[in-house]
Amino acid sequence: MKKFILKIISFVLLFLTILLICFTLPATPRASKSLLFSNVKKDSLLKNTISPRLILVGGSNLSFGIDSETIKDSLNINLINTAIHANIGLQYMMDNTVKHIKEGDIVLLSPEYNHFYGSYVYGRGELLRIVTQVNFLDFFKLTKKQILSVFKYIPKYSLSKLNPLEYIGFREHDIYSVNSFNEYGDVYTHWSMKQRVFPSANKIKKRYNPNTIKLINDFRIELGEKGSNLFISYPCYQASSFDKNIKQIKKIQKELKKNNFKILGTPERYRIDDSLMFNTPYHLLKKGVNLRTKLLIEDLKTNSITN
Amino acid sequence: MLFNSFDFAIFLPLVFLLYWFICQKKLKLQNALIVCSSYVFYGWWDWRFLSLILFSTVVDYTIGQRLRNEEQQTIRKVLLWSSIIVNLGFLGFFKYYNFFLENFVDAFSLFGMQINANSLNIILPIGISFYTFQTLSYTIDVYRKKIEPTKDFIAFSAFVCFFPQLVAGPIERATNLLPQFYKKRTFEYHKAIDGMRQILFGLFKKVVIADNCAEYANQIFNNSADMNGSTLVLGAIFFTFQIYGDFSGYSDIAIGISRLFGFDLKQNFATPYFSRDIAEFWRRWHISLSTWFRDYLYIPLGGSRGGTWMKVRNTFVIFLISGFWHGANWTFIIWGALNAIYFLPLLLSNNNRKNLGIVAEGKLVPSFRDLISMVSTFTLTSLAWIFFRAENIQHAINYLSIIFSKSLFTVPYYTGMEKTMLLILIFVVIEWVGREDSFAIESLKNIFNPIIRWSIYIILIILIVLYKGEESEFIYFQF
Repeated sequence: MKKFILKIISFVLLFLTILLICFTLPATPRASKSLLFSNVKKDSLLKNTISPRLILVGGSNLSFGIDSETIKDSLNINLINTAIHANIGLQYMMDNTVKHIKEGDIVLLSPEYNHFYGSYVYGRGELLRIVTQVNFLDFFKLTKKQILSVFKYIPKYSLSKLNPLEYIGFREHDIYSVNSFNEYGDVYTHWSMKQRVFPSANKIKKRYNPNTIKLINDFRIELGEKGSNLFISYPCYQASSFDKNIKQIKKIQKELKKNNFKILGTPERYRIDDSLMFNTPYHLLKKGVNLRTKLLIEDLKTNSITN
Repeated sequence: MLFNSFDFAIFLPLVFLLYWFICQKKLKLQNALIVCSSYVFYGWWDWRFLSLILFSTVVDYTIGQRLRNEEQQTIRKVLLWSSIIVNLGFLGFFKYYNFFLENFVDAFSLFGMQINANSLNIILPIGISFYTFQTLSYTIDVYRKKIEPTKDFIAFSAFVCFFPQLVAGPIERATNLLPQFYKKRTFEYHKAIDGMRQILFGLFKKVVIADNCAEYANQIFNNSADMNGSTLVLGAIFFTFQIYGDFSGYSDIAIGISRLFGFDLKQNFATPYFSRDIAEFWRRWHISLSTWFRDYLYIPLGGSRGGTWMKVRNTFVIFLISGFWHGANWTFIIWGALNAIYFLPLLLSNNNRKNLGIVAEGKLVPSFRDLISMVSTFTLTSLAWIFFRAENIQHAINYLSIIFSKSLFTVPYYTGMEKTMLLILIFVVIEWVGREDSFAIESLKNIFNPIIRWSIYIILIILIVLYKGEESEFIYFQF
């Protein structure tokens, strides 16, 4: 028995040592080209773009669903699309934005519907990558819930550095690359591409998380203290996925209304026909991008947010 | 509690330490710990259904006691049937009530009679099909005087609810497992290490193979109407490996965990996809269920002793009931019927026991003939799995009609499947190399250099971590 326990402990220790060593290794060449590294450029836009600005915050429904230049030209306001990936978690997106806010800025938050269910709001593996490879110091600013949420991704993250395909024979991704973004922060490389085959979203089965609304409310207060305004817009969402999750979406709509957020449009308005989607239920083809941008401009104008 | 969950990673070492360090001196205490921990394990899902297990345990224990002293055959039969009715009654109510109700309503409506019958919102207790069959085997064996009824209620409870195999088997026989609860168990180093190895490979099968295959199988089956034939073929292959990885992975983990506690469970899968005919497949797939049906249904029905008609009837009975055991849906029944149809030519030509040995035993590669036989059997099995996986019969028929259309010869829709296909290929090679052992990586114990052995374990763990699919429940929990 003693021998068995000792062997198990030795094996676990060996494995943990490998994990630790891998954890501290720098980002692999393949990872360094990933879209997460666009965060550096987006932070620089937040620091350097002259105020007042319209700042878009959310997941890939924004990065793959907006033509910022059109909005800028139409509303005559500087625009920054900070969105990268929903898995970074809404909490980190908001925390990362608020520190760069200046007086007069307008923040348009467009969370994915999943952010209101389960622990999605706190982030997943992509958050771990951001805080260990891109904004290293942010690792120490994570809350307990964020750490718990990303904890399970540590083994995969660490061991991915042992994958030979991370070092040799990789090609920069055609859409999920640090170079896929335009000067405003929109992913534009897929604008010339055709629709890809992909399944519609599964029904959201996780429990509703009231903390998401609380976090958005805290964000609103912090923005208010800095002289900035928060607006919420619903994400563009593939019609067939939308219909599967109508109950969950209505719940979100009800809770947002109950908390008196300034909301642009309705979920149904951004229910996008399947033919306009690109490769996930949140990513749009260029035609879809044009439609969503047009709808958003109308909503922004209706609410007299800008001239 | 899932074997591949964080909760279980805490639960297992805790029970292990209590079992070997605190309870080691007293056998009763060890058995009591098994009962308590098994109830915690099961109650983690839904504690309400613990009462069902307890009730079933009390009923079969009591009937066993009565059978001990009862010599009168009529009363013995009454006792046996009481157990069968109680156990199958629960199973029937929880699993089949709505199915029968809906089918009766549909049948009457065919004759223009409208019946108002409300189906009940019944939750299926996890593992009910497994522990029901396990307890039934005890009563039947006591009735047949194959085993002495136990006086030890704790040992019997532990036999019924033994947590490694409680929810998805292997379905153990009282003759094999129950006596192990009477004997003092001492920790055996090599047995435990072997158990760990089997757990590791079981996890690999479940997390890497089954969960990755599930991702594509689900996508393809859920959107089959929009796919071409070649994509649907891939979907069927992915499901074929998903169900094998899932179920045999669970069995490997269950057997491995049992070894850690000093128990030996029977092998449940023996590389079934290398079978050369469907009869061999059924000797290698879910062995504990197949042999259960053989011993408690097929043989009592007359087995293959009677004439041709009786053989055919018994074969169909077994396969149809086996299909129905898997779920209250016509798809499972058709799946069973298909397997019976596959089996029939072998039975009628007396070739059903032709391939009893291991394919290409002692050789590196199979003969061309064996290869063709294996591919044919695999194809037939995969086609039958389409019914097993489909939502309903119409879905399966549509699926098959797309497969057997011109679009079979077009390029599959999905991209990004290469990784999963490569993993399947690696898995098939590992299984092929280890096909002569009770589980594929058993022979690693023969590698005496610990550095090489440990490196292989680390590689397997890295593969599990890196290629872990979306966490999902084991398919067989629903049965």
